[in-house]
Parts: sequence; C-alpha cells; structure tokens
Amino acid sequence: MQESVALRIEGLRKSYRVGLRRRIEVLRGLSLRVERGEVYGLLGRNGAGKSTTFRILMGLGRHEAGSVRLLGERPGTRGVRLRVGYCPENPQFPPGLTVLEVLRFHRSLVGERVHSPRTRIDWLLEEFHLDEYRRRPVRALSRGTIQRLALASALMARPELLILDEPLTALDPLARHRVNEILLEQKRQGASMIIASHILGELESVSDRLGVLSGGVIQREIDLRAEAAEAVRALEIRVPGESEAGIRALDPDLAGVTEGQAVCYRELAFDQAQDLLRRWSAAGIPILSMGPSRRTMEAEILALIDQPDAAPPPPEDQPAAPWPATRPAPDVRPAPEKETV
Amino acid sequence: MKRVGVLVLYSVQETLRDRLLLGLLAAGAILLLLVGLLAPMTLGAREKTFHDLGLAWIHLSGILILLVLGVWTLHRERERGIWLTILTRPVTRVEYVFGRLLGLLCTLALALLGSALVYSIVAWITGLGPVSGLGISLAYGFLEMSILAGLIFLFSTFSGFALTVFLAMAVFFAGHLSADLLRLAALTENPLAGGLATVFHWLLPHLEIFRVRDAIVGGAAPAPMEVLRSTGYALAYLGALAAVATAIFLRRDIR
Repeated sequence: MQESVALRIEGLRKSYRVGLRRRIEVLRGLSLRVERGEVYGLLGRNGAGKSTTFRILMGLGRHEAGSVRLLGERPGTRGVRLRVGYCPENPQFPPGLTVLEVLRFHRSLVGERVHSPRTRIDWLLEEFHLDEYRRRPVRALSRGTIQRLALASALMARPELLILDEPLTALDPLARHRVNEILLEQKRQGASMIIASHILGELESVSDRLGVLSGGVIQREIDLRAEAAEAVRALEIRVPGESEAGIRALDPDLAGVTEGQAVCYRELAFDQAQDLLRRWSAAGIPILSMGPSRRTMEAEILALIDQPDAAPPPPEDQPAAPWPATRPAPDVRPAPEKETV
Repeated sequence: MKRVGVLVLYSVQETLRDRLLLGLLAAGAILLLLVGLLAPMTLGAREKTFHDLGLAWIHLSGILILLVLGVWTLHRERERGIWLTILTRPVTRVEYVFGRLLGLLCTLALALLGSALVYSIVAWITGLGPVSGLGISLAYGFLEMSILAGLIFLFSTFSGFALTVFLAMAVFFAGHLSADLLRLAALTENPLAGGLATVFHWLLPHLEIFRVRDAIVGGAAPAPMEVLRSTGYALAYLGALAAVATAIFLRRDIR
C-alpha cells in the first residue's frame, strides 16, 4: 500500500562541532510532514538549518536524534534515491563536461527509472531552455543556467518527491517564471515537494503550506490554501503617495503603509473597503488598485524569521503552533518593498 | 557494478578534458626530442641517456598526473560541492569510492600509455627505437603509481588539497626507503626505536620492488614469479588503502 505521507520528520536533532569542544545545535527537535502531492515551503533565514535538514534527508549527513522517512523509507537508500529528486543550494558540476554530458551522466545513474532516455533528455533540455547550451561546457555557463541544469537533472528520474534547496535564487525573472510553471506541472502530476528558501515570494506561488524554521524547529506552519480563502475577506487599497494627506483629512484613524510612490491601506473589511472606495472617489482621490490583502501574513512571517536562532524551541512533544485562525492586527513594522528577507 | 562503470567513465572523461594532460605530453615530446638532438653531449652514451630519460619522464608524468589532476579533481569535487549532485543519486558511497578510484587508475593508465607513445615516436624519429622491456617498465610504473593513487584517495577523504599532496608524497618517498627501516631496526640497540622502525617498515608501501627501470635499460628483466609477486603486493596494498578510505568516507558528513 502506498504511504500517504511523502515526508515525515520527527524530533530531528543535529549539531556541528565548532573548534575542539564547542558544538552548535542547528536542529533542536525539528518535526514536519509533507503529504503526498503537497508542496511544502520551508522558510528560514540563512543558517537556520534548511540545507542541513535537506542533507540529512538525502542521507548525506547523520542526525543525532529523531526519525526521518521519505516515501516510507529510510533516507539514503538506493530505492529512495531513485524516487527522490534533489537540487542542492548553489549546485556545481564538473566544469569540463558539457550540458549534454552532465545530463547523460545523471541519466546513467538513474537508468532504470528512465524508459526512453533520449526523449527524456530532449524534453528536459527543451523545458529548461537549455537546448542552445547542450554542447557548451559547464565552465562557460552562467550561474542561472547551471541552476536550471541542476533542476533538470533532479527531474531526470520522474521523482515522486522533490527536495529543492533555494531552487530559484540564481534565476532571472523569465527563468524563474518558467521553473515555477514546471514545478506546478510536477505538482499537478502528483509529485510532492519540499522547497527551502529565504525568499517568501519564491515559495508563495508554488507552496500549499509554509513552515517557518527558526531556532532549530518549525515555529509556525501556514496553510496557504486556507490563507487564500481568508484573503478574499480582507482587502487592500493602494493610492498615490500624494493622496495620503487628503485621506488623513477624510479618515484620520486609518493608517497606511508606504510602498515606494504609493500608500497601501490593508486589512480592510469588505464593506469598509467599498465605503472607502465610494467616498474617496467622490473626493477625487485616485485609486491605483484594490485587491486581496496579503501583507499581514508577510509581516508576521518576517517577524518570525527575524527571531534570533537562540530562541527557545517549543517542547519536543508539542507540535509547531498552527497559524492563528483569527489573525492579530498587523505588526507596526512596515512591510519591506522587496520580499527578500 | 553498472554505476561503478559510469563513475569510472565520468572520472576519465573529466580528467581528459583538462588541458594539463596534453601539456604534459607536449612537454615530454619536446624534452625527448632535445635529448635525441643533443646526442653529442652524451659522450657516447646517447642510447642509454635517451632511454633513461625517456623512462624517467614516463614515470614522472604519471606522478604529475596523479598529484596535479588526480588530487585537484577530487579536491574540487569536494570543495565546490560537485559530489552533492552525484551522491544524492542512487550511488552508494562504496560505489563512489571504487568508481572514483578506478577512474583515477584508468586515467593513470591512459597517461602512462600516452607518455609511452610519445617516447616511442620520438625514439623512432631519432633512430634509436624504444627500449626492449618497455611494457614491463610501464606495468611496474603503473603498479607503483596505483599505490600512490590509493594514498591520494585515502588522504583526500579527510584532508584538503595541500595536505593530501604533502602526505601522499611523504609516504611515497618514505615507501622507497622502507627496506632501510628494517636494516635500521636490525642495527639499533634501542628496542623502542627498533620496534617502531619495524612497524613503519610493514605499514609503509615497499615501493622499491617496483623499481625496474635501471635493470630494463641495462637489458635485464624481472622473472615472471617476481612480476606475479609484485602485482599481488600492489593489489593487496591498494585494496587495503581502498578499504580504509571507504571506512572513513562512510562515516563522514557530506557538505
């Protein structure tokens, strides 16, 4: 019978030796699960332990405590590696080999999973826009192209579970969009994924759930599907910056957040937004846009990620706190213009 | 086994792409041509000088290939994280060690054959012809350098580029003196020093048994039993090195 959980991590602990005696504990009882067909975004600042977790999942590193099951198997076995595709952070390939040789090499290593190898390689070259580079050595490729090559080789064996560490970081906007499309297609075909990033925007577009890794544990889990449903109940209105004074005169209690040349009024109830829109239009205030309000979540995630790593983790037997059903008022901290943490 | 084969091919392909290999072959050809052309300076020992230098160069090119290309590619694979994309495929660490080690040996064999080819071509051009027993000399050189390859592989599992080169060369040179350690143990009156010398004698590779170049240039060749014994010793020592390297590699975290 097929395991319903694609990935299950329970109480994972890992520390590194620093110097002769000191040890730094990176993971302090990390627990999470990814269901079959689900995309889980793992969010955390640099050094939070995302890559360490992934290395343990792939059997590259050993953990001190806890248990890990990928597709029902222990990590690092040949069977599980045939069914899992992995793309490391900042991937590298032998500089002398060409793109085609790299893909052929990886195809040879997972041979039994690729029924029509030539077609598969051609498909990957085409999908990841690598066709024009097929005879080019890796040393002559840009970082973004190497990243696409790594993603292509991770997909070589039609994996059931994809483990992707910062997969979009080096990509230009066009390539990022293309890779997002490919990942969504993989999801539609039933693949499960866990994607690590420190950029919220990267994960939001493909993930079903987000986990915020900080202090060696998942501090919060956010169901983006539920959030999307919630979002339509809260709206935001964006107006030009110069209209702020006029709005202050009309609605002195309303506080906006500056976003470049614009001011954004968030977390407005549907009726309230309608009323404001009507009154502001009547007062001649131009409206730039109106849409679902998402920024509260971003501000709170940023606040969670920003916690120092030494923050005390919750007790091991207590699961990570779910995202509060009734969300608190937005943080007074203004949301940054860029989504980079 | 199939994956070991894939890794061997990959290792050879990767090393052959390096221009250093061609550079070494070209440098050797130029050196030997100069030796052939500057024959009058050898005062009647033209043929012996040419063959001495030719065989020494073949030997040296093997060492350089191992030290520069071998250590460098292994080190680069670890430092840049290239091995992350390999070891997360359905490849066991044992397969990886054997694939990479055999790949290194295949590259070494190709480098020795290439150098021997250059030497033979230059020998024919200068009208001397290659020395008889070139094959035996090559085989012995290969066995000796296989042990060096094993040492490189072992040290590279736990140390960086410079330390690997240093340790491998130290053991390689000490291996040529291992017979002297036994003589030292017999001569010394200090039992501790004698014991240590004996232990090191057995731990270090006995590389002098592979030194047949002088005998071959002089027209002699090792007896078949000698060849068998040397081959057996090299394989056993290489196997032990590979086993220790695997044991270390199995325990380490890959980053």
